[in-house]
Amino acid sequence: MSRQLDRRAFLRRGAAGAAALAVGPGLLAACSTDRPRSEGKTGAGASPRSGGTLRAAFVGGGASESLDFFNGPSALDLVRARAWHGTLGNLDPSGADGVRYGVLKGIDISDDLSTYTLHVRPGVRFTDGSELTSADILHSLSALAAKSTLPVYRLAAADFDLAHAKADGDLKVVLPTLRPIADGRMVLCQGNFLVVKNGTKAFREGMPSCGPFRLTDFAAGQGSAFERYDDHYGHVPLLDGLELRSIADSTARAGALTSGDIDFAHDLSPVTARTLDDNGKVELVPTKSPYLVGLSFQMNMSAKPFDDPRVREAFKLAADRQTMVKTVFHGNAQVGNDLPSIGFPDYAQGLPQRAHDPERARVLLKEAGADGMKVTLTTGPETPGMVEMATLFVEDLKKVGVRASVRELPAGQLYADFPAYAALPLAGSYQMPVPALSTYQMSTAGGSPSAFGWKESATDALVAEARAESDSREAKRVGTQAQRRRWEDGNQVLPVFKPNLNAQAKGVSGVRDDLFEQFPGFSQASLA
Amino acid sequence: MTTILAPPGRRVRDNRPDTPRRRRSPLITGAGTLLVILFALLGPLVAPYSPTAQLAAPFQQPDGQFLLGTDVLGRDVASRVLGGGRTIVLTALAGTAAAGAVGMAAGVLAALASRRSGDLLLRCVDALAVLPGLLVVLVLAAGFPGSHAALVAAVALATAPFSTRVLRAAADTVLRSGYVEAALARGDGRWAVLRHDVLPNIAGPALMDTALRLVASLHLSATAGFLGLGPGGAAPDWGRMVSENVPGAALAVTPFLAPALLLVLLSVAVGLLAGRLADRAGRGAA
Repeated sequence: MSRQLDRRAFLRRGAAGAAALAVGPGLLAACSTDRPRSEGKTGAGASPRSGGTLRAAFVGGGASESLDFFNGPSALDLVRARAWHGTLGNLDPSGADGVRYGVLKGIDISDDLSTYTLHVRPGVRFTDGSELTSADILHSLSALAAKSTLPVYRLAAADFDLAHAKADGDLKVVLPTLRPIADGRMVLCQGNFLVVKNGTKAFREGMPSCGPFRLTDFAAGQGSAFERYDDHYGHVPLLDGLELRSIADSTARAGALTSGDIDFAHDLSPVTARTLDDNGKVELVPTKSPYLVGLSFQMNMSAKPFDDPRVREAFKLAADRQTMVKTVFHGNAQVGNDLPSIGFPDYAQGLPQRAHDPERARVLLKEAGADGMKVTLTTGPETPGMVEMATLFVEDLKKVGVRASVRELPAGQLYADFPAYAALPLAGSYQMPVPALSTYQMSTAGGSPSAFGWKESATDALVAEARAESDSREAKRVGTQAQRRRWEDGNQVLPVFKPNLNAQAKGVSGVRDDLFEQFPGFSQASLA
Repeated sequence: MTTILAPPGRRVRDNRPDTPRRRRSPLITGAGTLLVILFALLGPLVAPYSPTAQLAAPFQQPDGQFLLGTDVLGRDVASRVLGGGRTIVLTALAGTAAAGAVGMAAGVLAALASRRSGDLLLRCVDALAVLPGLLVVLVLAAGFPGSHAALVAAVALATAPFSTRVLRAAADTVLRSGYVEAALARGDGRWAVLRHDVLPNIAGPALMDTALRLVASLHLSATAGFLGLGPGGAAPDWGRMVSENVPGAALAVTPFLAPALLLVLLSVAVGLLAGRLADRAGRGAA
């Protein structure tokens, strides 16, 4: 990407815009059709156009952005890596194993659930012409992912003995498990496991990789540019190129989209998304289940009065979920049922939806002797809608007689001191879309600090049993049983699942086909 | 005692040629300011609804039920506007009072002390003044999230150094005037001189300075609200209302325009009042 050229083009467009504003709306309309490329007609059934450069904008991580996605926490870090590197696989409900493999042909599980064999897809080539082998996968798993501190890689490290993975020939990797698990494909093929070449230590521009695009330019905090990799395994992208830009402000991302400076805007705030509703040139493409973020409130069971299950139930009944969906997200969200991971294959089935019942909540609080109790809900603007949700929940609590108030921390502070966070009586939280049972084992089982005093060895055992069950129907039954206990007695109010409110120019297509929607991929995308 | 000496202000003014000047009574600006401040302080008492209750769909247009429409979370904008000025005004007033007290004490002390230690004290104060006011507010508010006291302290810290400088200069002039030297030579105690000769004569500049600091304090406390510092959460605050409703400007105008206009009105009124006071004090003291 030539930044100079960009800036000039931007200035030119800005000047034209200013002139148009001065002259009047007629010219403004004329200007807005002055697009860098022709507006092709894409009727139903028209085949997607190939070529062009898609420009997408994300929040980004500022100057601390790094190409090392194993240690890069921002969404853009992973989006960039997905464009650049090959993946083990993505979750795909329509796939044979519930996943769509990338650089793998398949994963076999031994009968005793103690080893997973990863079969490498033959003929995958890096940009330097070398062929991808088991050594590359081994290096990515045992040298890089095993050392990462990001939760998603810790999740895999809690299930698999990554350090003891072995190559068996050029096309096989044998991965031992730490405990018998049958759902390991879902853990390995969540989309996060990307493969780099054996021996990679430092991540830099120009290093060989095997993703759909080649990185041609990267400036931390500003953006990156890619061109199509013509030898990409499976399919070759339709786009000639891809530009990923950092635009931190939601309104600015929406403005760039409506003015035609970008084609795709990631994660808009609910209000910004609502303002785009009437815009004929763009469309909202919210992520679909299971790529939904859960917004929740954690009640600390190690402190009174949340040690009383009646109080916990009262708090769950007090939440007016429909109003939260309608008010905070303008309807662009889904009601939650106090359990995380909605839409994942191991999410509990057949549980009734928790009602909004303030009367019953009052009665329960009175029975528990907690009517008129005082509580402070601590939260922070960690993801759009979080503070607004807390504000509404506190109003709901006031209606059932709880003297509740919100304490809002500045951005980035809520989780900064984790022990202090885990000791809060009532705290706001959000859950990234990850499978239900493996996540429970990692972050909730065994009285983990992030469980807020929940310590139920019987539930922990049920989860372990469900994960170790090869028969999928039986696994589902036991898994649901475990989640029902959490639903009944748990200390989490999870009223809403919100999508990432992405928006794109009309005519852009194929982003959703790349799966793993919360970190959009563009290997199948095309422009209008 | 001082009664036998004319205060220096009057004496100087008598010697000054009468310059023609537009002399409008500060009464009108004073009344205007008082009105806005009263609106901010007493507004919560007349609000039709709870300022935090979610009542309807977000960004509804004004109608008979909601005079200014509803905000980003479906709360009544009118009730929030009525409730949202108190924090800003009280924080600014408390911060200004604290800054005034600190500035007065430090300024007079610096003037009373020997030249060298007075200068040293002033250098220390200057070191504080180097920090941008907003930075001080940001750091303290982030360190003590949601604390009113921290915000007041931050506002005071950000404005006090300037008061100190002004009041030291004012006290210096008075201290070096002949009648103070006469009073000291006569054997009056330092405390008595301070009380009867110095303080009454720097009251004018002090008042003017305080009014100017109040403008700065208002800006700071409104900015803190806008940035989501201060009490935060659901509590109404004009600064915060502007920032939380601006993204929906295309959907509804009143939720961000009403608090923004009130902020403008408040700071203009206080600014004009400060200007008038400065004018008077200038005529009185210079």
